[in-house]
Amino acid sequence: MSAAPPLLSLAGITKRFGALAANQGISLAVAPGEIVGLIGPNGAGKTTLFNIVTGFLAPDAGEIALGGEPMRRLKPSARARRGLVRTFQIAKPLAALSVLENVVAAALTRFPRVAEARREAEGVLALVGLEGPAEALARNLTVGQLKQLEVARALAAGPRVLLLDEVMAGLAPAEIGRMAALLRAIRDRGVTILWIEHVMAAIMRVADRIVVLHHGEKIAEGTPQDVARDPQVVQAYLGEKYLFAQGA
Amino acid sequence: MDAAAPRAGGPAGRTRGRLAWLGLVAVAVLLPLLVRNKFVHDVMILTLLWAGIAGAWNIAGGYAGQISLGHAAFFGLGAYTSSLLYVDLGLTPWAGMLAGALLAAVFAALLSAICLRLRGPFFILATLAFAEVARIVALNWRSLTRGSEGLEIMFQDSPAHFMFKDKLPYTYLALLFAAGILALCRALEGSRLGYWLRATREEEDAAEAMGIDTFRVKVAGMILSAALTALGGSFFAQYFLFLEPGHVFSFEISVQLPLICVVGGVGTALGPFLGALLIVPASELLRAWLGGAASGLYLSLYALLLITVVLFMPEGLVGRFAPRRRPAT
Repeated sequence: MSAAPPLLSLAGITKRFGALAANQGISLAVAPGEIVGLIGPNGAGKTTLFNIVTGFLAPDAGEIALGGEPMRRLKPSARARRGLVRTFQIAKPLAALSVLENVVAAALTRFPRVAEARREAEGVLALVGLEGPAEALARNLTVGQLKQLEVARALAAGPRVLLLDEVMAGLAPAEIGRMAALLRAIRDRGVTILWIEHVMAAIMRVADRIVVLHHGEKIAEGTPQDVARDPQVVQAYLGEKYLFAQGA
Repeated sequence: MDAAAPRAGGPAGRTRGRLAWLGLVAVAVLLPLLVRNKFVHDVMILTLLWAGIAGAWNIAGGYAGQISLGHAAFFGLGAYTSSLLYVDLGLTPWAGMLAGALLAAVFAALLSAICLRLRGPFFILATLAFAEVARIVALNWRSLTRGSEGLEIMFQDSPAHFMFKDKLPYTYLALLFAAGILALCRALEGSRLGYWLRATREEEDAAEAMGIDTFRVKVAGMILSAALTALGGSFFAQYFLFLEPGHVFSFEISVQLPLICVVGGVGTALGPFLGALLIVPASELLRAWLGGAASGLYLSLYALLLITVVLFMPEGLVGRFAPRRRPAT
């Protein structure tokens, strides 16, 4: 952990769905400029945690603060305005709008004039590598392009902390490489990243720190190397094969 | 459909588009002067009036996807407010219609605050109930509205009171009303609110996640839509000079507006106008020709026409004739 005060801090986040404890007392601090990876098996509570942090779900207990400001009473749009911006695991494009219009709609939350928002959106599309189909309708995009659009829209909304939910799932290997480079570029622009991912090769290489969830609990936290060697993590999620692959 | 987005065709296509618009405006302005026929003027007035009001419905129902089957409430509110202020208090309908629009805006805000958290069919049913309540209140609040006896506005030839002996001024006012709403919708499409209305319609969660306060956006859309619909109601009252709750608050009116939009193209500026251009003259002509012949015949043909349009042009007339965007590459 760095000495800087955390930009995003979660304290004791707990959420139950009936008998299922989706999140159990999860605490986490993300320092400014960090890329924190969030991994764990399906059903570990990763997306639930994202929904709680961004305000789409209310926790049963726990506190969320962004730059020291409590988020609990704010709705998702108000949290986004303060810089807590997410992407969705299953892409949610504004299907009947063009790619550019999708991003302009987000940029308008920071630039009230359409011309300025448009300029910003064009810049973001160029950064993400989606300037080609800018005029195409979002419903006609490929899976990879939809993931890029999710990231572009989130960037246009001006995140301080960007929450990425499986932006690499379903991508071809070459696309994964480009997305990894993009995430680094985003971080270099001063954006902090909290990132759920199942593509281990990528997240282990790009993330500064990894947090592992299992059955709604945080079971490990540390550098990618440390986490990859943690026997509990190997047993719960990575599997023996991953350990051998790392050793080879 | 975005004014800012470049269209297929480039500058040459744009010039041709401008010429087409100029031609359309010229026809709209000259036609009432050239054809001095009462029936034709009547059809033109109704077409333009319904085009404008359907355009107003389209702001909430089309752009924001907040489908309302209760806009008769706002229509009736506008009609009764301007008429009662004139009949009982002598206030000119020119001012009364603004009061009606304001009142409709207040009711739209109330309705939104209560109903907008409902999604899909539940919201639609709530708007339907809202219009029914408005109709029943208007019917039973006899001391104010005269109930089912109806409210008559005594005719006097007085432009200052929004009444004209000739149909020509009504025609041009209807044209102004419709053109104004068309221009407003075009401007809306290129504006921040326009983007946010469409974003909210397409994916509410995604819109929220990017910082758009979808609740406020929907309320704003409904308020604008309701106020403009009320203006249309006042116009209607001044044209017919007789109001009755069973008519101005009717389910037929609530259905007529989305119907026009669906036929023309929902969520496009031009859609409601093309829809009204087809539906209103068709229904008026069919009624004039066949209304007395066999009861129900004109309605059956009207229904056949609607089915044909919906079947063969599911995106409406606009989807059929407007230039398409190129697909993703």
